[in-house]
Amino acid sequence: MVNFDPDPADLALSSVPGQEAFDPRRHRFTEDELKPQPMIKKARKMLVPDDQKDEKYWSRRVKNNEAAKRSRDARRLKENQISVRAAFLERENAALRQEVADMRKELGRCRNIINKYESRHGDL
Amino acid sequence: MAQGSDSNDTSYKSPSPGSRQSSDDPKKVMRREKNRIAAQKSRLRQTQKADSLHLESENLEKENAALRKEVKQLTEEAKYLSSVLSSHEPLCTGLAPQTPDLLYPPHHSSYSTSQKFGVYPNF
Repeated sequence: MVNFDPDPADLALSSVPGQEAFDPRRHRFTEDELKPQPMIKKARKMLVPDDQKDEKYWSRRVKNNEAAKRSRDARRLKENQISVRAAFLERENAALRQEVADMRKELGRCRNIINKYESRHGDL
Repeated sequence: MAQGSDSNDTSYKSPSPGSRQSSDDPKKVMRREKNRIAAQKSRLRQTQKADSLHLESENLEKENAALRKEVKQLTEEAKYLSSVLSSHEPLCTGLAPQTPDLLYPPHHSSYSTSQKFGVYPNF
């Protein structure tokens, strides 16, 4: 198992407070999540005169502002998660590459010995 | 699927002579325009950074999967060789005092047999 200690600050930024902590080992992102993000056309800024800013207007504004904040936060969280997992994968891949190299070397040794034996005493 | 981002209608308009309301104070308009451009740039940088991170992430996942597969295959091969050697061991005719040079080449004084793949016949 690869040693990976994410910066606790990064980990905190990648985890939802109410849920269990983000685990870069196990988390998989769906293909959709990783595809380039489609850009949303922002609606035109409608300048509303103060006298028209009634209760209805403000309740709508407040709702939209909160939704926008949730959206920004969710996006930031996701980016942090992807970033932490990417860092983890880099480490793990380096370790895996090393493991593959070691195994190939060892297998080469073994096959060499077996070949030497077989050339003398026939197939195993 | 990428679409355009913000509306682009807030370009600078020359101020009307006389009145200096917030909507046509040239300084304010200039500043707003500069801010608009800066914000646009910043958003562009953010999306580019995110896209590049996502691409990198995708590649790392693919590489990871390929490496795990390779390790699995190599492990299978090692198991196979190990089983071949184990089944050979009871029948081995190579265990004569005169042939220790396979694992113990003459120029080595000591030789540590690898424990990595489990069973090795002790020549």
